[in-house]
Amino acid sequence: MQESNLFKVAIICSLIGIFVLLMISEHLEPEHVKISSIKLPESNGIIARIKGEVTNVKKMTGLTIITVKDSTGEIPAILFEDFSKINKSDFIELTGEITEYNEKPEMIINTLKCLHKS
Amino acid sequence: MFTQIIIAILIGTFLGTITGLIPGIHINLLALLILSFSPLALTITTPIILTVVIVAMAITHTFLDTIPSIFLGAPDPETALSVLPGHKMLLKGEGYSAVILTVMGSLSAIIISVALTPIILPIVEFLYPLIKTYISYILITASSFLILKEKKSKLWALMIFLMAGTLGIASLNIPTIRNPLFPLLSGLFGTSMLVISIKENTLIPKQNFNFPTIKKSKAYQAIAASFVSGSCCSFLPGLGPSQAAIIGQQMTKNIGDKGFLILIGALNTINMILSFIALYSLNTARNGAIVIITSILKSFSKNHLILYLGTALIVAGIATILAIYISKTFSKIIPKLNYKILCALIILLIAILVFILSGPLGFLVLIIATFVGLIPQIKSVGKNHLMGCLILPVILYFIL
Repeated sequence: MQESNLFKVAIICSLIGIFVLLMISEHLEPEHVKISSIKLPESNGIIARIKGEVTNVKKMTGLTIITVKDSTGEIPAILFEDFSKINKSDFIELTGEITEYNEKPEMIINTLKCLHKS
Repeated sequence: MFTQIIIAILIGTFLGTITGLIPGIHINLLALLILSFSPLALTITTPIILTVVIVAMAITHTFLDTIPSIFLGAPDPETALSVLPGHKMLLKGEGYSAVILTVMGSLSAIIISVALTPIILPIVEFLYPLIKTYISYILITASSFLILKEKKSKLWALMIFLMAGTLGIASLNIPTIRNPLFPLLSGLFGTSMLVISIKENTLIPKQNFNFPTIKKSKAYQAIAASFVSGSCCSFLPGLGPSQAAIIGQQMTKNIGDKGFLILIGALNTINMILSFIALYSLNTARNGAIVIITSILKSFSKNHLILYLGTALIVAGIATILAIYISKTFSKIIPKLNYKILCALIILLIAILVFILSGPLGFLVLIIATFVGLIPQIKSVGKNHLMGCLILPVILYFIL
């Protein structure tokens, strides 16, 4: 083997890596779902991404409950911190885990992004 | 997303170059720093991107950490064994060639292990529960095997194993020492080696840039052996690449110093790739970098594994080219430097870092560990027995 060959192998290796990343990079975020398609028990435990309008923000100590509505339905989303940056009728995007609470689905928020302030 | 990943890879490669080249600075340490900055970093990026930085850093590190172990004789625990054959080649003026051999090992290991991932996954899932049940017996057998294989003095090998083990148990159980592994491993494998370099008045000859020549059959044997022993040792706590290297060497016929360097390079990298696979299929963290990835990323899916393997491929290519240039630069600079002063400066750097990161008690651990680390050299016994510092605590943990 020569130094130039080692160089070639290294570059081919990187190019294959870039190709793999191009293929995968679009599939890394959790899938976007309509709120009405979140149903128990099949949705329990999945990580999902939802977009919608805030219809209600309820603050408690160490806990914030944000109700999100899209064109198909409504779901409560729980954030385990005191949070005051979100207000009623903002548009937000959430990712998080779907869990069951009082026999209804809710989302435990992992990430929260404000898309449009009211 | 794609551009963010590429930027993350470049940042990680840069950081990994730093940790790889400075002896004693382990990726775990930098990964820990990244974790403490993560709340700030997460305001501009996502957890996935942040973990890509760590993955890129870890892979770059495994490619470049043989450079200080060969040129300075100051290895990380993973590369402790490459010191002897690598340093031997350095003293013959073949330092560049020694680095290239380890890089060839690392690069082939990445390509093969990524290609074999679909086969490795089910094997891992089958083997791991078995290994887990008998872990302490496997560790006792493996350690006894390594001690009995020792040619010079089996008694000293056992003594060193027990001494390092006792030191390990003590320092890992004193709650007031922060980051106890850092002074422990730096002392046993880093500063002790540097002290010897100073004492022996090493003179580094002018280095040549000949590309290494090795028989293809020996290279293939070295890589095959690294896969077999690497995949066994990767799932045993305490048994790292250094132990795997000894076991791997026993499996093959005589692969020589050059083959051994390929073996070390390959093992180091296989260990890292397998730890990603273990995280996905077994949900266990096999090293510090992975522990931190799991605490940033809450859930780990197949897509993440593919992302990490893709990242590993890109970084492997970049790190290979970096290693070629860096080892050439080192080859030009090192013979001109005052080697004694250089070694003394690195010891000082490690001592200061230990003091800052582990406190005064950690500093004490560093001093004791340095003395224990000197014994194998004085008695010309293998340094791998020093890994008793991790193996013995693990054995006791599982037995008691």
